[in-house]
This record gives sequence, structure tokens and C-alpha cells, in this order.
Amino acid sequence: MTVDNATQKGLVTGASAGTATIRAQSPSFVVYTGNVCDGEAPPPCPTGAFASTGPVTVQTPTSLRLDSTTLTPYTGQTVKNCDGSDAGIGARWGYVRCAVYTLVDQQSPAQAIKKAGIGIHEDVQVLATNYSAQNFSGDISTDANGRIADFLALLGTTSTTIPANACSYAKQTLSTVVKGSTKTLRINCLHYTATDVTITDITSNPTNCSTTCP
Amino acid sequence: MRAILRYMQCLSTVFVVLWSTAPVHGAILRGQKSRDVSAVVVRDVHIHEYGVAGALRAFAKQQRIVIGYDGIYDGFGTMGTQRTIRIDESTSTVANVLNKIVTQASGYAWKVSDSGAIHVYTINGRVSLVDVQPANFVIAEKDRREIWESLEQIPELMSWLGDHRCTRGEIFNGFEWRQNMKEVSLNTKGKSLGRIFDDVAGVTETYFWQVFQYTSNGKCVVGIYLW
Repeated sequence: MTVDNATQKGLVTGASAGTATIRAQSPSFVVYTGNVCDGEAPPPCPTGAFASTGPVTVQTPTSLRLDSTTLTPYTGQTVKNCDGSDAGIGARWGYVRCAVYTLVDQQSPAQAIKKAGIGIHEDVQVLATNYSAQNFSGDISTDANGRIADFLALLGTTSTTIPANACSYAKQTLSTVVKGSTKTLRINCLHYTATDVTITDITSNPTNCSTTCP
Repeated sequence: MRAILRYMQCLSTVFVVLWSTAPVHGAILRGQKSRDVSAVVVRDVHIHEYGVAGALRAFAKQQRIVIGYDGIYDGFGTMGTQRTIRIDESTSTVANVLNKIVTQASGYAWKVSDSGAIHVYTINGRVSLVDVQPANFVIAEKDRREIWESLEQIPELMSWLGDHRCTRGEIFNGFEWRQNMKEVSLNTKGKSLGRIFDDVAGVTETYFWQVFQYTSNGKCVVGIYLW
């Protein structure tokens, strides 16, 4: 713990995840001065001290909670990112589903880690596809509320490009780095079809994602 | 003595080329450049990818060698019935890894193209579109997406599609344009589309392209993927 002499505030820095109790106590000081008592002569002035106790929790990134998803179909319009900006891939046919996650901690119930700039790494490994989907790796940063938006899309160059039986299964691993080690936050099975993509949390059973497209 | 040395030098070169390119489906070597990429020794190759395109793309990116792939499929659904290709080699050659990929995938062959790149294709037929030679296709200060989008402005490509009663159609997930997007200028004079795609893959460091032809709802569709 350090104390800022200017603000008289103390800063407790967490050493590792968990909970602790912080107790701050001041040294004894003279409570009254002036006409009430003379600090230079006995009897001594009344003294006092203050103390305060409170719980603290050091949060550690533990998992990603899926908060909401939004499907946007495209029929020749300019494709947009989840934040509404131009995705830079032109006017297409198909869909984009934006999945919003919140980074949460180890507590029960889990609490959001409201800190911007925490890097989340995404690895998408294609397990089966009939339209030549490819693997992907990328990074996203949390916003001030600890949220990230994941852009999931299946797009075609014309209105007839995506066949009704379009299919791919992919394992999506979302992770971050905690104290120099990779921490897996969530594993999803992504199932893309011609009209939508479903997101299934398979963190507890990572092999539970199909390896064949019908 | 000098003649003997020259003979031995020549013999050793022939031996290396033969050894390093021993094909499963008969690799064709022609017009090789000074360096045969298939003979290059590769280390720590770990490929666990679905389908031949996925395996080739992973290998191309790992080794930074250009691989182009063209294939003909009976129907859209058949592309979803491929298997996961698994290769783990501590030390090998490009040729040996390619042989393992086409063996596991079944129905494919590879060759070293005139450009020095690797071309993989389906044995039952190639997509002749990659041999089309545009008379005037300008690539000046274009990124990979702009090059891909400008393909529809090539009259020879459009003629090929018309002659073969095919339409173009590509499907993607939207993140294909997030990397390897530097603007490039290329001389395309006298080059086939396949050769141009080789150059694009090399200079943009994508290292992989594919063209495949399939039937969807009874109609011919050709997908051209510069990623």
C-alpha cells in the first residue's frame, strides 16, 4: 500500500486474485488545540486516532459472459462493423451477427471487470466447411465496461452466392494473458448456416463441436 | 579431371531434385527457376486443418511459399465431406509435405509452376480459367481486395465465364481483408491469371489463392479466392 501525501489517499495494489480485508489506522494525534488545551504544558491534550476497515477484491479475468447478440441481414447493402462503422468489405449479401461479451472475474456471481484495453485474443479453427471457410486469429480490446463485440458473418458476392446448404463448424477460442500466461476465457462452437450462425458455449467440453457438414 | 568433377556436380543436382520431388500423383516439373521450392527443407511442420484448401493455406503461410489451388467439385455439398488433414514432421521437404497432403486428401496432385510457385489441382480436372491470359489487366497501387474486385473488369475472364455458362460467386466470413492489405503494383503483361494470382499472393504475403468450380442448383459457379 502506498499513500499519496498530496491527496492523503491510500492505494492498495493487488498481488494476486482473491479477496482481502484492508485496515487503515492513523497514529495518535491531538484532537483539540488553542483555548481548549495547550499542547506544550501538562496535562496533555486529548488525543485520538481513526481507523477504517473494508473488504477488497482483486479481480482476475476468468470468463466471457455472452450478454446479447444481434442479427443483421444484408441484401446488397454496405456491410457494417458491430459499432456501426463501415466494415470495409463492400456491399454484400448474407448476414452479420454481433455478439457482445463482458469480461467477468472469479467471484460468484461473477462481476464485470470494468477496465478498458484488456486484450482478448480470438482463434477460430474451422472443423468442417463446404464453402472454404478459413481459420482466423485476431485481437479485440475491452471497452471501459469490460465489453467486446464479436463480428460473425457469412457473406456472398451476389444474391445467389450462398447456397441454402452452406455450412461450417468452427471452434472459437477466446483468451487473454494473465501474469504472462494464456488464460482461456471461453470456447464456442460456431455453426454457420446460410441464414444465421449459432454460438454454443463448449468451454467445459471443447470437443463438443461437429466435424462434418451434412 | 575437370570433366569428372562437372559430371559429379551435375549428378548430385539431379539426385537432389529427384529425391526431393518424388510425387505420389506424379508431380510435373517444368521450367524450373534456379531454386526448386519443392526441394526446400522444412522443419516443425504441424498441420491439423480441415480439407485440402485449409491444409495448403496453413502450409503456405507457415513456410511463406506461394501455393495456388484449383479444383472442380461435383456439387457444393461435396466440399463439406472432406477430412481433416494431419501432418506432423520435424524435418521434411516441401515436396514430401505436399505428397502427404494430396495422399490424405485423395484426388489431388501438385506441380511446380513456371513461376516457381506450387500449384495443386484436382486430378479429375483443372479449372481452365486460371490459364486465361488477360490482354490488359492493370494492377497499380491496389490492395488485395481491390485486385479481387477488379477481376470482374477483365473481359477475358468474363468471356470464359460466359463460354462455360458459369457465374462467379465467393463466400467469406468478413475477416479476410483485415491482414495483408498493402497496396501493390504488378506487371501482368503476358501472364495467365494463375501466374498473376501467384504474384499477388507473394507480394501481399498471403501466400495462398484458390479457384474452384462447382455446381449449385444445377448451375456452374466459380469462386476465386485471393485468401
